Amino acid sequence: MVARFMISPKLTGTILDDTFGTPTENYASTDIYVGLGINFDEEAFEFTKEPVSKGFTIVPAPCIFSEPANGIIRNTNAIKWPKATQDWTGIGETINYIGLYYRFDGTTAGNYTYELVAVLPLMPPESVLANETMVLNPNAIQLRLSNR
Amino acid sequence: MAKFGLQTIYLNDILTRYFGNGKPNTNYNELYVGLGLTQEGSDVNMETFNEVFAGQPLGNYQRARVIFGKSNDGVITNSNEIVFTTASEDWTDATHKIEMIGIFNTQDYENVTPLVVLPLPKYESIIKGETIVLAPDTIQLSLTDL
Repeated sequence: MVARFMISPKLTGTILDDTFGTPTENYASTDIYVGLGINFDEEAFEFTKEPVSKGFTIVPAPCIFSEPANGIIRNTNAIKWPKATQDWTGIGETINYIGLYYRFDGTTAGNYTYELVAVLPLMPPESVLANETMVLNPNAIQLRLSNR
Repeated sequence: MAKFGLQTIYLNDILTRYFGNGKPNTNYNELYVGLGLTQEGSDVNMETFNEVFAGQPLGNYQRARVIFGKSNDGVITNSNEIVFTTASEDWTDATHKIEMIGIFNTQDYENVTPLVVLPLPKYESIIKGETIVLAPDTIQLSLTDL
């Protein structure tokens, strides 16, 4: 169980190279898209189980974050998912993670691919059943960097 | 509270550039290592380290170029030998010691805002004729605790 905000190894390397070394990756956009996860493999840095199916809960609109203060940013708007038309979690199962993604244009219009760039725990974990609606309030996502 | 490591100004910059409010840096940064001088018995502002890096050593002191390699497994290290000029006069004295180093994006010592501050394993004294050399891989930077 991951209990902290984690940036993917790939993005971590990109940030370090961009600042201290030689920039190599040139992201066209760093807009963040939010999705949910049930099980997470820290080693592989990927969700091994997501509600319904892979990428199902990724919200189409980017998440808006506040300007940073003291190394912290927060989502400024509520993030609301459509009402569930089926159970997102099984018996005794909970959504444990929030995933933050970069989005890339696919080969056809409106077709996107996503890269998981960061994960943080959903506190408290939530179960979502059919006809329920999942909402993250403003400030629910807090990204804090610290190496102290 | 000590705030060694990446400084808040840089952490804010990361959050801005990589989480939707800006663009990643795509320009190569020339970076320099500065020596931080502390005075025995005086308080150090650990929020900004301003006094540490404003009170640069004397004489011919100047910040030394540091070159980092490619990050590996979440860590980036200096690839070059970081060599400071040989002191033309004493850089430290009985009460002023070098206890930390800072990484800056300018050689201009009037810019005292470091991207990173790291403590030295032990304080250093530099008197006339001496120098400081930091071997490759001495400086290891990560976004999380090493």
